[in-house]
Amino acid sequence: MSKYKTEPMKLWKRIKEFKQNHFKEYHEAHKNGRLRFLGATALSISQYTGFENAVIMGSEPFAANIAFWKDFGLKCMEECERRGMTRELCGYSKCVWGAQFLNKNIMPDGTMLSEWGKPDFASSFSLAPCHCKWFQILCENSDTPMYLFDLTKAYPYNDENLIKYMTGQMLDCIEQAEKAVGQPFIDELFIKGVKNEFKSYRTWCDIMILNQTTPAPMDEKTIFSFIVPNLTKAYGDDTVALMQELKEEVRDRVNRGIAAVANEQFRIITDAIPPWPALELYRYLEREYGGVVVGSPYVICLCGSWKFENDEGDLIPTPTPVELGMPMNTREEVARALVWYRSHFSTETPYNIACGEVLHELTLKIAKQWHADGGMLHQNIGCTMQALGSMESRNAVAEAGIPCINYEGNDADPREIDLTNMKRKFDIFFEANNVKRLTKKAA
Amino acid sequence: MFEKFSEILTNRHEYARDWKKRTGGKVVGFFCSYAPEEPLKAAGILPVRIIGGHKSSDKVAKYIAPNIGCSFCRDALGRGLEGDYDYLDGIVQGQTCLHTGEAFWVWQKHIPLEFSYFLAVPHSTQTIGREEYLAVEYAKFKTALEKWIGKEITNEDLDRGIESYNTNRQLIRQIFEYRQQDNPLVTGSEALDLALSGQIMDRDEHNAMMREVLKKLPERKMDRDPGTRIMIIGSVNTDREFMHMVEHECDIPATIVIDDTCTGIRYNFNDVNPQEDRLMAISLRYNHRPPCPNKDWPRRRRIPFIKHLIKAYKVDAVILFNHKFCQPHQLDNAVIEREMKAMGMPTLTLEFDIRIPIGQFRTRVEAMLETTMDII
Amino acid sequence: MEEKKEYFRWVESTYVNPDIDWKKAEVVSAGIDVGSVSSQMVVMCDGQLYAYSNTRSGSSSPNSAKNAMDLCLKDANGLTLDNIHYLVGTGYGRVNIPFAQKAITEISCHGIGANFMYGPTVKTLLDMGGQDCKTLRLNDKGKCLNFLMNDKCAAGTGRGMEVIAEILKVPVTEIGDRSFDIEEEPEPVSSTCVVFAKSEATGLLKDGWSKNKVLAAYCAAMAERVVDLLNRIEVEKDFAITGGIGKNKGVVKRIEKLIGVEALQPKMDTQIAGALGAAIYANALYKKAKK
Repeated sequence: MSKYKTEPMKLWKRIKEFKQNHFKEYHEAHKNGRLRFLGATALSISQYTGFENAVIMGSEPFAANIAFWKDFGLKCMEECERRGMTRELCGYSKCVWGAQFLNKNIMPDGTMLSEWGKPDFASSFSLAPCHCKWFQILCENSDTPMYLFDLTKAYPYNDENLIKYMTGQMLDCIEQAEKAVGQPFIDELFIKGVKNEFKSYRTWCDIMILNQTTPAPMDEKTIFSFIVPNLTKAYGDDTVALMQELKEEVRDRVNRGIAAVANEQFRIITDAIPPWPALELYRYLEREYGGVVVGSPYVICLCGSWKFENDEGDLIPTPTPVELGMPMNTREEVARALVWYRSHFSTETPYNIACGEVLHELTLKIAKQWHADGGMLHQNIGCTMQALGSMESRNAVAEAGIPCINYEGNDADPREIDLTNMKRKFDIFFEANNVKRLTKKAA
Repeated sequence: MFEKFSEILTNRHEYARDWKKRTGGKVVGFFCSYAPEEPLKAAGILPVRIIGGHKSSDKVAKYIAPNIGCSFCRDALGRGLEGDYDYLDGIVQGQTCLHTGEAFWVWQKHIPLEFSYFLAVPHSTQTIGREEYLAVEYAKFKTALEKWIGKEITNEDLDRGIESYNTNRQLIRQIFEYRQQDNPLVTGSEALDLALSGQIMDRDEHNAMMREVLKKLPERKMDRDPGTRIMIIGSVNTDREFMHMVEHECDIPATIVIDDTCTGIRYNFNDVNPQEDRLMAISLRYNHRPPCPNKDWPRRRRIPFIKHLIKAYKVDAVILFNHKFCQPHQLDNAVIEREMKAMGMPTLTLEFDIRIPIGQFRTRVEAMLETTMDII
Repeated sequence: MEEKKEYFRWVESTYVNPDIDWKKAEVVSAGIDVGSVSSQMVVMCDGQLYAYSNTRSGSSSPNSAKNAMDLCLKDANGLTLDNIHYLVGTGYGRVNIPFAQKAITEISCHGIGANFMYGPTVKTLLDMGGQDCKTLRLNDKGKCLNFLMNDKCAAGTGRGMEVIAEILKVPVTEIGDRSFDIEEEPEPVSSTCVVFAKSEATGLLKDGWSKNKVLAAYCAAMAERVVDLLNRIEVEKDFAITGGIGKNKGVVKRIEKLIGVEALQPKMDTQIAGALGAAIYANALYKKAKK
């Protein structure tokens, strides 16, 4: 008999549809007389909401979708390698470059597209140094106007010099985009979009906190499907409503003791982007060991904004500028509020320059607050930024008495994923920690 | 003529220890060439660049995975963990790539030091507001330094620091100019030792040594066939063995006449132009110096710079290198290689590691040289 | 006691052209290619192939060169080193061949050798050697215009294949054929690294894969690695392969499939291309010196 009750997430299908529709809207934008904006999500893409006709796509979900469809993803990688881009380079970059070189793309439901989806305007943030080089190459090759943001050292947060610098860039970006697309930027829309983003992000934090419950109402593989609305459309009224609904559903599951995995017996944290071409790994952990991945700095921070309570305590949601009553009446005030909010632990900022400085502390806090029994941190060869700090995170978690290992993988390149060895490593880990195997071992 | 530079570079730890004894001053290690050296000098501190020893250390693997961390940074960190840099009082990183950053943080966490500082240098040196941003960061850095050394750093101190570094870069450029001659009066190996020794020495002492060299250099007679004129392009080059191999061990003569590396002309190309706000003056230099790949976006400023050098130094062939797992340079090299080939420039791309396979590299270099000539 | 079988072994060979009398030749030139895994010597009489040997390299380059020479001259109708007018050394050990007048890299030599072997139409050459793998762009004289080499990794090389032979206990010369004796082409293995190959191969066997299927997955992975290099140099017809792996159909056929171009059929042992190129250079250099 199962340990806990379980049932499928009710919103699963709707969120899948949301993703499919958003991709469709992006790819069909020109047909519908609208503009395409492709932007890295690191410090918000909501600045483009000031353009009435904008369809805004987050470049990371755009790339992850290609990586997930591994046959097409592989073709993209090979096309890049043909052009001298090495195997060790950023997996996401190669997915999107490859799509551009091949002038093809794929929809979330697997439908092939005969055009890659050239944007009318693109932007990126120097989250990892390669993140801007990614767009430099992409835009050079497709003659796309771009704005590349310098997101410099974002920790300790609340730094006036950084906020001023980033706000200046955001205002400049808006002006450049106005010129490039030849359409006026409407401040009221911008203000509304940013306020919505605050709501969506704040709700995400609440949802993540609900996952601290035992049994966990959601497993990380499922959560991966829920990140898309915030990543690509946090500014939308529909996203604000959807996140609210999701929060209600998760709360209801917690109240009724509904588990994501009926046999939850070992709570796990990970850290980085998962190996998209091998997500079956998560199901292996659940099926064989009742191992449930309850969260990671990646998934928790990706669509929320967090800080340490009193600068060193527990990880808590960053109060939004609206909650704090920051002035938000002009373009400049809104840009500033957005920069302030998002330059906390939000999206992947902890991985960037703060990586060696604070990532390990953040990972340890998450392990403790989400009640992890162990950690399995992804040495993501497809993303230097994430892989680099991973070992110090492991050290910090393990030294705090929570068993933790690194496993090698790749977020985008299926050739670099050795599932056999991954599973074997996990088997040994569970065995060493006396976690009972739930199925009979294969002969 | 350059033996003394080579000797000090080889014995760099002894030099730093001796400097400390002689002056009673503090020594600060820095990782990347975007570190704020002028303010350090102004504070009476000796900044030394932390470089590897081309030796593996098993102490690194606990902190940085060998299959993702840049080989140069792992080597440098390894030397720190092994205790080679036990004389350092502090470390500083001027933000550039993730790899040097991670090496800094691991060092700061696991090797006891009095002082450490991570300076937020803009990632792009083309963005709006980057000059003001960096000047403010310098001011914060200066305050931290003052707190550490217990005294104020005055404008006069800053002027001294700026003067010393400006002179240093000017003298290096003067010596490098002799490499433009048909038979270059300085080999690439010598130029590397000259420039790299500067990064680990007291600049005033380095300046004095260079002035001596400049007295004799114009009369120097070179007893070697310069052969193919090569430019080397990449990041931090500390591979003296490689330079020696190219110029002295190949069957076919060759001379490395110029570079685009941060241990060569890229680092020494421009000076601090004095202005009332000293920190802004320094910020302008770092923002305007020839960039490394990390800082070269959205426009590409490296390629015109490289083309300028190719012309000025009459370059016949190019060697591009990157340290293993150095993604920023891999990214740029793919583009530069394409540009070079479009110019009809013979190009060889190599990947450096903690130790390089010298025999294999010799084959590649010779084969590249063979493509530039008619054997029969 | 049962003799330990060495699965990596391939047959060493020699050849002498019965139609040529070296004594009548105006120029006897030779090339010796000392590679990391194998060594060859080629002798030419007035630019015609007269004799060659193909042996396994030993621990030192001078000894390997000497072994190759002894084997080559053994049946060469009394030909000795003294009768050779010019000898060029090539390969990894080229600088340590005591009796060579000149050293030229194996990259240039393979280009010239392939030009002789396959004719002037060869524009793209793939040389898969013992410890490295390179792609070359050639002009119609066989001169190398541009080349790429794999990095410090034995993936896609002869030594890598020998290691697999040992791990699976399949003679290296049988790998090609056996890799096609499968029901369905498997996915390439993820790591072609010879160090990790052992754990991965044993893992696959444990999962119930047949040896042939594992071999197929390895050949496919090697082909994939090599194709990276070919794509980067941009394959232009005609395309040819030299080096030891050129004899492994399991890899060659898979490469052809991936790039969509068939390789020219070799008319002679693909392993001698380097030494052959060296001998051609030697012939020309001797004539040039005499002028």
